Amino acid sequence: MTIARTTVRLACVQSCWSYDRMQGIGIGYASLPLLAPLGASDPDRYRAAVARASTFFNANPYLAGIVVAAAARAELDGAAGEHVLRLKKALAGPLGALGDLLFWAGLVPLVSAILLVAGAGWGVREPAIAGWVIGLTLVLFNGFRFGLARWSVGFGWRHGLSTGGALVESGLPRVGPRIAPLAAVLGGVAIPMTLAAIGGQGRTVSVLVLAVIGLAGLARRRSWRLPPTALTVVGIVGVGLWRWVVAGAGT
Amino acid sequence: MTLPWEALLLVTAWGTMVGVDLVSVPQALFARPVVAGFIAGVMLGEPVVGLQVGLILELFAFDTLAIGSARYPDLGSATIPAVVAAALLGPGDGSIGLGVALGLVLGQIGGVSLEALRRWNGRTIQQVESMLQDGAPRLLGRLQWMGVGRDALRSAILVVVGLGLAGTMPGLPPVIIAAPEITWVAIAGSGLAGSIGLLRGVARGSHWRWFVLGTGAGLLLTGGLG
Repeated sequence: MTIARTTVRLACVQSCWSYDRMQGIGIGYASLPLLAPLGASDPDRYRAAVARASTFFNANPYLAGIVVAAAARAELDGAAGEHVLRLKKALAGPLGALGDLLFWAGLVPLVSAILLVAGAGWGVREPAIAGWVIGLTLVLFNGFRFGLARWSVGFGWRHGLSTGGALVESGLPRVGPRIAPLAAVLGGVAIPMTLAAIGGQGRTVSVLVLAVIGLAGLARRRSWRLPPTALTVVGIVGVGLWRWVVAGAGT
Repeated sequence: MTLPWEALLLVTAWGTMVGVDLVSVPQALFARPVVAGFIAGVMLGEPVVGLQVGLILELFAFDTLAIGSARYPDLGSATIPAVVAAALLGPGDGSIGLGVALGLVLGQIGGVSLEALRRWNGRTIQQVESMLQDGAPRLLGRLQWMGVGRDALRSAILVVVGLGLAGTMPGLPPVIIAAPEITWVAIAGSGLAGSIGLLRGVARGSHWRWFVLGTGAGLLLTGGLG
C-alpha cells in the first residue's frame, strides 16, 4: 500500500519544478509515505529525513521512484544523513541517462511514431479506427510507465544504499538501446505516411519526402543548425504575403 | 463556421489538461500533438481536421526534447487553438497550414511561459526555504499542488490567448486562406523537423540505416515509389 501511494505521487514529481531544487520538492513529496514509520518512532529524525528528501535533485521523472525509495530505505535503516545525500547525488546522473535513453530516446519517439502511423494510415478515411489505435497505444504506454514506476520504487526499497550496483546488474540499461532501432524504423515509416496523408499520395510527396530527408541528413553531416519551426513560420508568412500582393496587383 | 460556447469551453478545459500533462501531472502523453489535436477535433465535430493539424505538429515535436532545464515548446496546448483555427477557416486549401503556423508560434510562447512558471515556483520555494530546511512534510504537499494550479493557470491562459488569435484568422484575405502553398510549406517543414529530430535522436549514429529503411517502407506503403 505504501509503495502504491508513493507510485501515485510520482506521477506529479515535477509539479513544483524550479531551477533551484529542480525535482526536489516532488521527490520529497513522493518520499513521505515511505518515511512515515520514522515519524512515529523518531520525529526529529523524520523531519531531518524529509528535509534531505526535498533537496536539489534531477533525473528522468519516470525512473525517479528508484531514488525516492532507495533514499527512504537508507533513512529507515539508520544511515548517516551525509550518506543518504551522497546516494542521491550518485544516482542522479545514471538515472537521468538511463531514463532519457529509455524514454526520451526510445519509448516516447516509438509511441509518437505509432500515433503518426495510426493517424496517417487510418485517420483521414476512418478517424474512429485511428482513435481506437491512439487510445490503445496510450493505455499500453501508461500501463508500462506506471508498472515501471512501481517496479522502481520496489527496486530502490529492496536495495537501499546498494542501489547503484544493483542498477548496473539489472536489465534496465539494456532496454533503451534495443528500442531505438525500432523507433528509428517506425519514425522513418511515419514521415512519408504523414506527408502523404495531408498532401495526398503521388510523386510530389515522394520527391518532397526525399528532399527533406536528404536536407536533414546533410544538415546532420555538416553540423548545420537548421531551425525547422522558424523556417516554416517565415515560409508561411512569406507565401501568404506573396499571394496577397499578387492578388492585389491583379485587381 | 462558428463555434458554440460549449465547444470552446470544452476545448479550453482539454487544452488546460494537456498543458498540465506536459510537465506537471501525469505526463501520460496527452500532450502529444496528435493526441491533443484528435481529441480537440472530436470535441469540435471535426476529427479529421484535428488529426491533420495534430499529425503535422507531431512531426515538429520529434525535434524537441522535453527534458530537464532546457527550453522546449509547449506544442500540446498550442495544438488546440491550431485545430480551432483550421476548423474556423473551413475547407480552404491553406487552412491547415495557417492553423499549424498559429500552433508553432503559440508553442514557442508556451516554452517561454514554462520558464516563467519555473521561476515562479522557485520564488515561492525561496520564501519557505528555512521551513524546508527544517523538514516540513505538509508544506511539500502544499507546494506540489500550488505548482499544479500555476501550471493549469499558465496552460489555460495560453489556450485562451490562442483561441482569441484563432478567432481573428477568418478575417484574413480569402486569397491567403485558399493558398495551397501555405499548407505545403507546413508539410515540408514538418517533414524536415521530423527527419532532423529522428536523426538527432533515435536514428543517430549507425541507426540512420534503420531510419532510411523505414522511410523506404513508408514510401512503398504510400505508393510513392510506384
